Amino acid sequence: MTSLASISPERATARRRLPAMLLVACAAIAVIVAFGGYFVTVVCFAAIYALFVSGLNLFMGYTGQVSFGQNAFAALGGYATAVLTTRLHLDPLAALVCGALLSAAIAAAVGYPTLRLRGHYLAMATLALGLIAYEVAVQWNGLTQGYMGISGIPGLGFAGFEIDNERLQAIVLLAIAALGMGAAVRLRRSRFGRALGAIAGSEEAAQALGVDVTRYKLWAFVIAAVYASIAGSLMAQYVGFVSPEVFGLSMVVLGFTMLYVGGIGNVSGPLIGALIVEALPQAVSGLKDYQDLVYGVGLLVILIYAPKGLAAVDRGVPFKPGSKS
Amino acid sequence: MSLLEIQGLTKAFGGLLAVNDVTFSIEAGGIDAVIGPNGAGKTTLFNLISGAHPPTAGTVTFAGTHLTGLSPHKVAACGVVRTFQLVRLFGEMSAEENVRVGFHLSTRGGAWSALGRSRRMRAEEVEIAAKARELLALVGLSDRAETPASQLTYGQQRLLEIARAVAAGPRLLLLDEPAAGLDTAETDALAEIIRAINRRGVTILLIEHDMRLVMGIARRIVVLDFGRKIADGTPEAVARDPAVLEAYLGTTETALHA
Amino acid sequence: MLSPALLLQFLVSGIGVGCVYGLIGIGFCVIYNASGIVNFAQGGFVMLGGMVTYVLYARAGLALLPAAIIAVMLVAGLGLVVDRLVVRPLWSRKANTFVIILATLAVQIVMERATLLLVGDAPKSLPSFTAGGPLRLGPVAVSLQLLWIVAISLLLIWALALFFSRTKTGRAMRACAVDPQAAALLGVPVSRMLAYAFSISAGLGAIAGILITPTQFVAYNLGVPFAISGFIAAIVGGFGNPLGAFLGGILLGVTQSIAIVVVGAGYKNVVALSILLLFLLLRPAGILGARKAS
Repeated sequence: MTSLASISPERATARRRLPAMLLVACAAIAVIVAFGGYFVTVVCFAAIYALFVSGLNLFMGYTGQVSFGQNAFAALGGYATAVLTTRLHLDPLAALVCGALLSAAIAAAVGYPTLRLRGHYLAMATLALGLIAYEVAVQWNGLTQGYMGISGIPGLGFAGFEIDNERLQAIVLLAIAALGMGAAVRLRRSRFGRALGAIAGSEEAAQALGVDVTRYKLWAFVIAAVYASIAGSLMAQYVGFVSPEVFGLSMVVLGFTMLYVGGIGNVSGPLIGALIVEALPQAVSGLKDYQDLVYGVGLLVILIYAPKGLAAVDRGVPFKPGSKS
Repeated sequence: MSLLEIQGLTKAFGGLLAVNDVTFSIEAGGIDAVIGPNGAGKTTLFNLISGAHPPTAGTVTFAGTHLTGLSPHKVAACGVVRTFQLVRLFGEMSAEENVRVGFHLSTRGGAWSALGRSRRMRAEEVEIAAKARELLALVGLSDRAETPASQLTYGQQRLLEIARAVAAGPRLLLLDEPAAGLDTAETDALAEIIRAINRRGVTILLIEHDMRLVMGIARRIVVLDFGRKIADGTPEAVARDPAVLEAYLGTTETALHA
Repeated sequence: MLSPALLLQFLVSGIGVGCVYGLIGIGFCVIYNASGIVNFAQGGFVMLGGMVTYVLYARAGLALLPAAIIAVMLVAGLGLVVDRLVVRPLWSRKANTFVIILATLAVQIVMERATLLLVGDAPKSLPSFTAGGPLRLGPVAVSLQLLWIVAISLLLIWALALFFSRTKTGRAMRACAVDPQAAALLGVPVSRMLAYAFSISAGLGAIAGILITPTQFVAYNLGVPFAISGFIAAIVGGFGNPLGAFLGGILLGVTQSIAIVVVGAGYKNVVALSILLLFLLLRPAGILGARKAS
C-alpha cells in the first residue's frame, strides 16, 4: 500500500519553515480567545477534534494503515466519562483516565486480529467496529440510555474545580491539543516514528531490517485509540451531554475531512483542518444536517482535486529570514 | 561449524516445487553466490532463509540457531539481513533516514522513550545519524543524503538499499540481484562496495545473473535449476560443469568466462 | 421454547430478506470485478431505490409498477453519475485504495443527508406488490411479497448470467475482471465497462430496495446497514463470486433471522456486524473461496 506520509520529519527540520497556515491559525486563535464571543466555541471544538485527528494522523499518516472506526474509541471515552461521573460520581480526570485505559485495552485486543487484514478488508473491519460501537450505544439502554443519551456531565475541570470562564476553557483545551500534537511530533522524530514510517513505506523491507511490524502497528493503533478516547472524554465534559449520534458516522467523515484539509502526515495538519472545518458552519447557517452534506461534498472535492490535502499545497514561510528554501 | 547451513530445504506452491531438496552450507567471511536460470528458485530460496515464507520441508541453521519458521524480523535480529530483487525503499523518507531505519536493531526504545526524550535517546540519535552518513559515504551517496528516496536514480536506489541493509549490522548479508539494471561502470563500483562490506566482517551471499560480477568476486558458487541444486564449487569448477552449461540452454563456455 | 413451526417461519422470512441481501452483494461483486473497487455507497443505491419509488408513488401519484421502473432507471443513472464524477478521476490516476473507499463513503453520506433534507426522517413504506393474505404451506405462512422477492431475484440472476455469458458487453466486462490490461489491449474500453458496472450495480441495488421496502420500511439512514449486509453476503460467498454472494446473502438472512429470536430485533445490526467481523478475521476467502485476493 503506498505511503500516505507527505513530508519526512527530516525535510521539515532541514527547511525550518512553519506552514503559513499554522501562523495564521495561531494568530486567529489568539484574537478569538482575547475577544471572546461565539467563536470561542469554534476554537474549543476545533481543539477537541484536533486531538482526535492527531491520533488518526498518527495511525494513518505515519503508519499508512486504514481505520474508519476511531469514533468507536471516542465513544468509549465519552461514555466512560459520562457514566463514571454521573453514576459513580468519579472525578472527571479519573474518568478520563479510565476511559483511556479501557480504550487502550480494547484497541489492543481488537487490533491484534484486525490489523492482519489489508486494503478494503481492513477498511470494512474498522468501519464495522465503529458501527458496532454506535449500535451498542443505542441498544444498551441500561448503561447508555440509548438515543436519549446521558446529560448532566460535569464541565471541564477536575478535583472539584470547574472551569467556568469560556475563554479559560478554550485555553485549556488548546493546551491539551498542543500537548497531544507535541507528543505526536516527538513520537514521529524518534526510532518509534521511523519504524512506523518504514511500515508505511514497505512492510517487507521494515521486517527485513528487524522491525516487528505487527507490534508497531498495534502500538500505533492503541495510541490513536487513546487520543480518540481523550478527545471523546473532553467532548463529553465540554458539551455536558453524550448520545450515539455524537460519535456516529458523521464523526468519521468530519475527522477525515479535517485530516485532508490539514494534510495527511503533517503534524500541524489536524489543528489547521479542525479550525477550518469547525469554522465553516458559521458560513452555512447552523442546521446540523446541512453541515454533514456540505462536509461530504467538500471531502469529495478535496479527495478528487487536492488529494494530499490543502495544507500540503502550502509550502510555508521561512522560519529565519533569509533562509534557503 | 558453518555460518549458514541449509538442509533439505523444500518449498512447494500447490503442485509446483519452487525449491526442491536443496542442501549446502556457507562458511563465514567470504562472498558466495547463488546463480541459475530464471525461475530456478533463487529468490524463493532467499525468502525461505529470511523467513518470508515457511519451508515445506528442510531446515535453515545460522550460527547454530534454527531459523526455520522464524518470522522475518526475528531472522534479521539473528543477524541475517536481505535486500530485495525489486527495490523496496521507504520512498517518502530521505536517503539518510532510510539508512537510519536500518539501525533499528542496534538501538532501543519504543513509544515511551520517544515521549520522554532522555539524554541517552538523544545521544543515540546523534550517533546513528553519524553512522548513517558514514554508510552513505561507503556507497557513494553522501551528496544525496537529504534527497527523498523515491527521487534517486535506479542505480542509487539499489546502493541505498544495500547501505540500509548494512546498517542493520548483519553477520550474513543476502543480496538479491544487486546488479540488476546497472551498467558496466555501476557494476564495477558495486563490486568494490561489496568487497568493502565484506572486509568489515560481513559474510555475503548474493543472487546474480551478471556472470562477470559473480565470477569476479565470488569465492564459491551454488547453482540452482528448477529448484534443485545442480552444482556447488569454485567459479572455475562451476564454469566447466556440464550440468551447469546445459541448464543455461545454449550458453557457451565463453559466456560464462566473460 | 422454539417450536419447529416457528423456526421454519423464521427460516422462510430469512430467505426472503436473504435474497435481497444477495442482490446487494452481487452489486458489490459486479463493481469489484470490473475494477477492484469496493463501493461503500452501494447501500445508498438500495435505499434510494425504495425512497424514489415511494416519492413517485405516494407523492407524484404514479402507479406502483411505473414508479418502480422509473426509480430503477433513475438510480442506475445516478450510478453512472457517481462513476463519472467521483470514481473515474480517482481510478484513472490510480489513487490509493483508501482514498477511493473514503470517497465512496463520502458519497454515501451525501446521498443520506440529501435524502434526509428532501424527504425527512420518517420511515416510508410501499404496499406489497399484490394485495392479499399470506399463503399457508402447512404450519408456515409465506407472504406474497416474499414470493415476489424470490421470483424476481431468481429472474434477475438468470438475466445477469445470460448477460455476462452471451452478450458482447457482458463478456467484455468479464474480460476486464480477469485481466484489465489484456482486455484493454484487445480493444475493450475499460473505463466504459466500469460505467456499465456502476449502473448495473446501482440498478440491482435499487431493485433490491424496492423489493424489500414493502416488508419493512425505508429511511434515509438504512444505506449503511444495507451495505453491510450486502458486503457480508459478498464476503461469505467469496468476494468476486456473484453466485456465491447470492448464497451468502441467503445464509446471512437466515442466520440473522434465527439470531433475532435469541437476542431480539434491536440487535439485528450488531448480529450482522459481528458476522462480518468474524468472517473478515477468520475466513476472508469466504465459504466458497475468493476469485481475487484483496
